[in-house]
Amino acid sequence: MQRTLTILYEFRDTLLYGLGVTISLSALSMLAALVVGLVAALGMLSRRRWVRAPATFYVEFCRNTPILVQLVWVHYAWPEIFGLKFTAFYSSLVALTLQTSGYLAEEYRGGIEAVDKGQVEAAKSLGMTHARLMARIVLPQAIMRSVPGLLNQFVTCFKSTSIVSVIAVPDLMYQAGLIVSATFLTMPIYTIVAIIYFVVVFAISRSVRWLTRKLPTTGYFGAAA
Amino acid sequence: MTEAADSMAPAIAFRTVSKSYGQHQVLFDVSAEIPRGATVAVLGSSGSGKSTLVRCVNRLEDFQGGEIGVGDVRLAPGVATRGARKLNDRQVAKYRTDIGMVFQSFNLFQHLTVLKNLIEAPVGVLGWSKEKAVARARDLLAKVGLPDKEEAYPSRLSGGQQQRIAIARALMMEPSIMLFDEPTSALDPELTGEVLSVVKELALGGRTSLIVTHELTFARDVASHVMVLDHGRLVEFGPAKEIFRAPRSERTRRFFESGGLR
Repeated sequence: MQRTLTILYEFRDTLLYGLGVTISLSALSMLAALVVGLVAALGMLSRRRWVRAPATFYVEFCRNTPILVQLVWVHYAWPEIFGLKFTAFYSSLVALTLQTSGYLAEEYRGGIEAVDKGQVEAAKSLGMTHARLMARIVLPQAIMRSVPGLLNQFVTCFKSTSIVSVIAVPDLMYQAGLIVSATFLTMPIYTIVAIIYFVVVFAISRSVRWLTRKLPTTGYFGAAA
Repeated sequence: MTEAADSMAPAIAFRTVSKSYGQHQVLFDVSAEIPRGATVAVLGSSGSGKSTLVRCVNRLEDFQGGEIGVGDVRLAPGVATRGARKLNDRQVAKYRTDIGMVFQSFNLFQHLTVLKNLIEAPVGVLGWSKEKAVARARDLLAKVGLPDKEEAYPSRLSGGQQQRIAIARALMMEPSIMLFDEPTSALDPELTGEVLSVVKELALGGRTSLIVTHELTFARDVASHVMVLDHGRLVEFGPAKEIFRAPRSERTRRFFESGGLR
């Protein structure tokens, strides 16, 4: 135990740097996915087939390919397919955004479809166009409904980031690997890393749970509760 | 067309309107001319197609045969036209601003307060100033007997209160036509009175109204005309007085009897 703490102290900068990369990668991809996912969800629900078909394909593709495959594909294949060459960090960001936006799109879609159709009819009968009733009536309610699901996806997204070490992004996992290969302290280092992931993910998911319970006390949810 | 002739033109003209859901036909060649300013009770047992017919007027439902003339707009299967011009989605939306609708399930916007429910469309769709909309909203809230509820969320209100708000919301737009789709069917019996009196006092005056209802006493009280539908066919249409006194069809007579009217 004493030894483990000493090791932890000795490599604190390397590990903290890795944790910083992990956190920024998951936060940035989550932010991007919040937007991309919403656009994809609206696309899937569009009345126009030429919008609906590609949006649905995008979401299904993102949800039905493993994150590792997406990561390697973006990093090594996109330069040839699309002529887009990213640094390892940006490739990771793109891959994580693809994956997460697919799941978020489904969360949004569930929220949108759960909004009572009667309100849509009422909005139409008041002369609102489709765009206006989506923006003013459906989405505000759909997004509020989706919040718990969206927050849960953040936990998944955070955990998925550990995969980016395979293309040498210096995240927490990659930094741990560096230390292990330099010191051969395999057991203590990977144990420490496991504990760090656990502590962070546990803290996030507990906050999500707290927030989710907290939500229904504001606005019209308060009235419904 | 001269002005005199124009004022004689029906507000709503159903011409052989037919509708089906897949194989199941729900309206059969319904024809009726609704005079301007009429209050029409649309009667019939459940599943007779009366709600569907009314929902066709503001294009919440399309239909497969015939046409409906509403003012200078002609609704036909899959298309709405004004003169020779086809209306696009935006123009159909605009067309709906002149037709208020009250639903069985109220359909208030759950995320908005009562006041915001009322001013949303006048400000956003009609382009009123917020001051004008709020002033009219307060006036209507007082008239429906809920002046103290403007900051309440719909889910805090009773069904009767929600429906009175929904009526006020429709009236905000100052529509020349009002459609009521079973406005009291979702309410506890003790709450129907407050809603029906708001309909009668506030919503009917001067405009053309179609009221789908099961409240025969109310219908006899307010209606100038009566339509009776049976399995998608119009079996009776005419001035309310005559029909309530002496229904022409056997179907209507039985319907009135089952409703306890005679």
